[in-house]
Amino acid sequence: MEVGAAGIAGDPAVDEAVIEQLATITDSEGFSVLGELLNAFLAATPVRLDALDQALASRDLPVVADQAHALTGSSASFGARGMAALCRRLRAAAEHGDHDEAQLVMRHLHAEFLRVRARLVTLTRRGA
Amino acid sequence: MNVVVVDDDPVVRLVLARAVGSLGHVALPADTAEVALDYVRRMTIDVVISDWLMPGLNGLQLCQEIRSRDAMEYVYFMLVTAHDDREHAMAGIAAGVDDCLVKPVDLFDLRLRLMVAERVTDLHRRLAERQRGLERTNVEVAATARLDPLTGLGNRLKMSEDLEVFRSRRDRYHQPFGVALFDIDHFKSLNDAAGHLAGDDALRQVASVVRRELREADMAYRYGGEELLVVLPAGVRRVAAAAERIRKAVEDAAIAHPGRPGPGSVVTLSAGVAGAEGDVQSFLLAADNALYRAKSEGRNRVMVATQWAAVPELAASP
Repeated sequence: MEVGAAGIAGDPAVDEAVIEQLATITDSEGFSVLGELLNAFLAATPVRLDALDQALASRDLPVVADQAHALTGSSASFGARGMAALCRRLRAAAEHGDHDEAQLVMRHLHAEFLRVRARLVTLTRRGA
Repeated sequence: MNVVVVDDDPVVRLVLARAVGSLGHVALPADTAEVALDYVRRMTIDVVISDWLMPGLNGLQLCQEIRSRDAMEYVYFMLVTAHDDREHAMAGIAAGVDDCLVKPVDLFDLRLRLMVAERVTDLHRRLAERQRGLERTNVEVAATARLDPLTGLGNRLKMSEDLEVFRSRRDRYHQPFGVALFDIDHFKSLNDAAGHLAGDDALRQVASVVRRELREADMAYRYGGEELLVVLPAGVRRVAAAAERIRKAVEDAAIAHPGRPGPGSVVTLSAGVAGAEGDVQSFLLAADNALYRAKSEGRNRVMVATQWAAVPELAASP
């Protein structure tokens, strides 16, 4: 799958089958904890993106690779396939020392996260 | 089950921990392998679900650390690897990992894998219990094989093992010890007059009086038919004094002796005491000779091997 610009038109930012699965997770009282999970992701991701921006600005590519790897895992856990793919591309670029490619992918990643966030925010409201 | 969830990413860790909790298990989140190891060392952990790549120890090293513990409890180890990471999965299984999960973890998949984990850990637990049971039985069998069933004292096997221990302690640390060989007076006539069951009963009662007179470190054995051997970690004077105390206690216990002439006659003991000099055979022989002297001098008395002295005199001097 080619992920160029901020997601391919018509390609959903979030795989809702994954969200449906997450919605089956309940606490000890039997209440869904989806809201808690989504909020955790929505709070943690901007922190990762900031760290990525800073590492890129200071050309610290090993840190970029590490952060991109971490973000791959969490975005995939929330069905954000486009984001996960961009993170993998970013990691590869960082590992190859391709700073320009990394910067390009980073811009796409910011845009893709905005799409993902919009979708997840809608889903949290729907769940609440 | 107690399930440790190890991932350095707080969001992934939260999702996994919540999923594990939702399946009815206790989820213990750990942000590093070191924290996970601490859980494993401090409490009973059934399953560890660990990410591969983490700062500090990685998932594989964590698994190896857990496997190298000297513990009976089995920890089921699940490694989470990236989708395209077959090499890591293979290396993990080869290193003792039980199962590999692919990221992002599919919840239905997780449920199935945890069911398998539960079955396997349960099996390991039952094996460990059976193993512990066997070890307990072995200990009991070993103890029973060294017990005289009639008197409950140690038997000849136990006696020779313990005498070796006393002897080597004497040689190595110069800890003296001595033996007192007791024989029930006129035991044959007791058996003849009242039957062997009455003889057994008298022997049992004598053994119980002897046991009451012993201290923790003293040992008593059934040496032969109606002979008992007492071993004390003390010099010959103290052993002789203890033998005299035992002799008197048995006399005072007034165990009926129907085989002796005269009304109200009771069971008495003769004893030969010897300090443990030289090898086991020689001091046992010395005690036996002293016992013979005690018998020939009128019974119901204690004689010490070295001087053939009657004990009351010995005990009276400092």
